Amino acid sequence: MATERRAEATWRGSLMGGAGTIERVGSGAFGPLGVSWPARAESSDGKTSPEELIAAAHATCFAMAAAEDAKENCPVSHALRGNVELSLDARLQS
Amino acid sequence: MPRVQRSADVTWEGNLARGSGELTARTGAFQGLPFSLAARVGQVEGKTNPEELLAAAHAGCWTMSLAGELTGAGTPPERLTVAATTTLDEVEGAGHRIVASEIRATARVPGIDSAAFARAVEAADAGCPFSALIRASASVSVDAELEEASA
Repeated sequence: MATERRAEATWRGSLMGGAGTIERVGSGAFGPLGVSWPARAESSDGKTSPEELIAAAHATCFAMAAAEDAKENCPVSHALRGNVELSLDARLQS
Repeated sequence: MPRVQRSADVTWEGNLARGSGELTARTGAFQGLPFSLAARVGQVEGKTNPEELLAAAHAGCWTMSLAGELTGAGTPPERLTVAATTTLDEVEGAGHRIVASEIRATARVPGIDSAAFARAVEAADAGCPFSALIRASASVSVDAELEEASA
């Protein structure tokens, strides 16, 4: 069964001088969250960014896959693998 | 764009079916967000999930990419609204995969004509690293509309 998930973002003004918002996500779990180009490309200043959001997507996906059987089980890992090198460092906590 | 690194931390307790996790952004933008398998594939119950986070990344990237193209063309946007919808589906022999991300954008851009807007949209999609990333393993579709200038 296909599952659709949704998010909405807005932007006002130029890229360098303007600012945006991750307005809302379908679950209502977070938002609105401010974003900006300087916060994305330089110091985050407490603001999220697309790169942090995909890190969050990957981490949540991987945690669930690892809870069962991590191998090839995380769709976000699969999507990333087409483009980037993935590395894995897993340690068992005593 | 310089090299940037961003991180998120999660914890998970329990098995896949009944366990649950918490997500925290290293920037502090969000902290302790709950997530679970049930909320991922069924009713969301206010919990986030990987596909929604990917949709947020794609929508956020896409707004900035279009703002950049429009700014470069001398017509910075008054306002852009971008919704991204990701689809997770079962693919035969491969388990669950992200199979699509749909972008729907509306833009209020003073002084632009429809041909220039269409060029900016095409360049924005081509230049958005998340469109490229998703396109490597799934489809990306774009539907962008120019709003009438406000009187």
